[in-house]
Amino acid sequence: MFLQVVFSGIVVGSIYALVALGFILIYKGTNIMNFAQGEMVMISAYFGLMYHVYYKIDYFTSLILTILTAGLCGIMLERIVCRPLLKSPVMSIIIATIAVSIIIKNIARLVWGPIFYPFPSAFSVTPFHLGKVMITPKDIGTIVITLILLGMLYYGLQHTKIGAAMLATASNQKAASIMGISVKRVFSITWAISFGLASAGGFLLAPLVSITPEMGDIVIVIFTAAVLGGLESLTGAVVGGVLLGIISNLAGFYISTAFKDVVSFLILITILMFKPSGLFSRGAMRKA
Amino acid sequence: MSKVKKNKIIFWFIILSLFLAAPQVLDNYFVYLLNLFFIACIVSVGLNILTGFAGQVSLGQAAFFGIGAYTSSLCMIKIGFPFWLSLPLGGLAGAGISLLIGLPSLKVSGYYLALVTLAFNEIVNLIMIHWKDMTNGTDGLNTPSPKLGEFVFSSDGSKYYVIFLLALFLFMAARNILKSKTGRAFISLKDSEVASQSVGINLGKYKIIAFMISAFYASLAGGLHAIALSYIHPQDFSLFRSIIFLMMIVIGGLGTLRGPFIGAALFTLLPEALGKFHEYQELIYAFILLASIIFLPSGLIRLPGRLAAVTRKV
Repeated sequence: MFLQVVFSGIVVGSIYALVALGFILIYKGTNIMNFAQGEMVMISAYFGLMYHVYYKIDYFTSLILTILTAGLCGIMLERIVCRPLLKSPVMSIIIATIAVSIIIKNIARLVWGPIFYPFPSAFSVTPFHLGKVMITPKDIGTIVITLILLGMLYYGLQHTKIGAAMLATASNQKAASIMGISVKRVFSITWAISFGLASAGGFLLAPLVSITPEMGDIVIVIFTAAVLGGLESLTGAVVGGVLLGIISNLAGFYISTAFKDVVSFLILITILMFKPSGLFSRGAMRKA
Repeated sequence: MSKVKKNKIIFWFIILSLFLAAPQVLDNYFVYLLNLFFIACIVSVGLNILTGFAGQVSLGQAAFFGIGAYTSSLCMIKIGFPFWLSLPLGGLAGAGISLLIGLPSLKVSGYYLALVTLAFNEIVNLIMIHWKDMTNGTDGLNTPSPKLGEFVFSSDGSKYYVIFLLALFLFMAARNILKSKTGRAFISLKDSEVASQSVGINLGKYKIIAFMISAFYASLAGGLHAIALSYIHPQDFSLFRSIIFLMMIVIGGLGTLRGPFIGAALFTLLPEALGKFHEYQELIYAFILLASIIFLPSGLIRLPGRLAAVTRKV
């Protein structure tokens, strides 16, 4: 049973990893902690629902459409809210992104109401056995899509010009702009990619849970995953996401399901109190 | 005594007597709203000390508000303490627990601190919901009215005097704290931690003091909230409430003495003004907040000044 719980933890965890990665991209790249990342996951699940269930577009095309829609939202949000606040204190940015998250959540509430929408997966849910672990093609599909997206992101960052510009901007904005990189454009792209990742997370998460406006509460999990990974490293975010998926699944199974939420908060507080630089880092953390 | 000072005293005397006379002339419902207003003021004045002056973000103020409300209510219900003892106990409980949450602030600030306080708020809220034997879970608790001898403070008007007088006392205290050495230490801490340390300000000590003061204010306000509504429910102390408290001081004017009052008034009256559009309430709050952060970052209190500057330019 233990292995089964761990395995389903990995499946959920890979989704967390995707979203946490997007969160870290923005944080590292633009120095903004986006409290609206969870709501982006939620609203993207509705986008997916719209494309896949209402307009009956096939699964993979809807996935791509959802990612593109979310990317567009990212660019818009960066332009309207975050660019005017670039030089503002941390406090203003926190409040502004929280305001955005409230707006998105309430739009979802007004448009779709408090109904649970089920979301079909493209993969079958008939399990097969691998040793003692039951695995469904759906689980495999989730993990494979996650890996593909991660691979694309890795390739994009390491081997394309835009990726190089993003990394350069993240490490030193001034130097990057001296080298002729348009920092503003990099910011737009960063937000677009980050929201694309969040939306893929929402799309994959939707079949596992039903879609409701409260789905955005996943933001706490994202924070915890990102903090576990040290808030600075992209790899850390991925490892943190998977790890958190496993831990919270184990806690939910062996202690109680009510404890599943608490464990995430407890990890968040404990890590920030005792090792704010994350589990895997040796270096000093950036303050504030 | 100079004439200006004399006029000032007369002005405040009139204001004070107006407030004292309010329950006698106003409709019950308005008195109830005034009660909520003063409670919101207490929290936001406390939070303003922490966030506006000492520069530490907190997304956990509703947790302290709730700790105060539950502690004082439970002291009255389970132990049978009088309100006058339960209320300060609630305040002390909040201040005590704030030590716990203030400790991480020694290590982290900014975003990290926001995350810590946010998680703290959620944990406290979950405890309120799930510890049913103690808190009665989502059924909520009925808080008894305070008594003084034979007299029961059951009407909104009588509760008003309790709330108003305590609020007045707390405002004066806050003002004095901010004008003292401690207050100056807070301000310097916000401007530059390194510089404050270099002139011998004990960072850790003052951060913790700021946390405890704001938690104490929020918890006392929580106790008053419990008697003002005679009923408490975990939902009153959710993260959203913390965000509203933060909105109050930001929209009112961070780090100003009077800003929190403007914010508190706005957010006490808005739900009433919205009335039928209740379901849009959160949406409207968020838009106001976003607009004010982008266009009026120093708060409503600076609005007249900004307007004057603009017209002068024209």
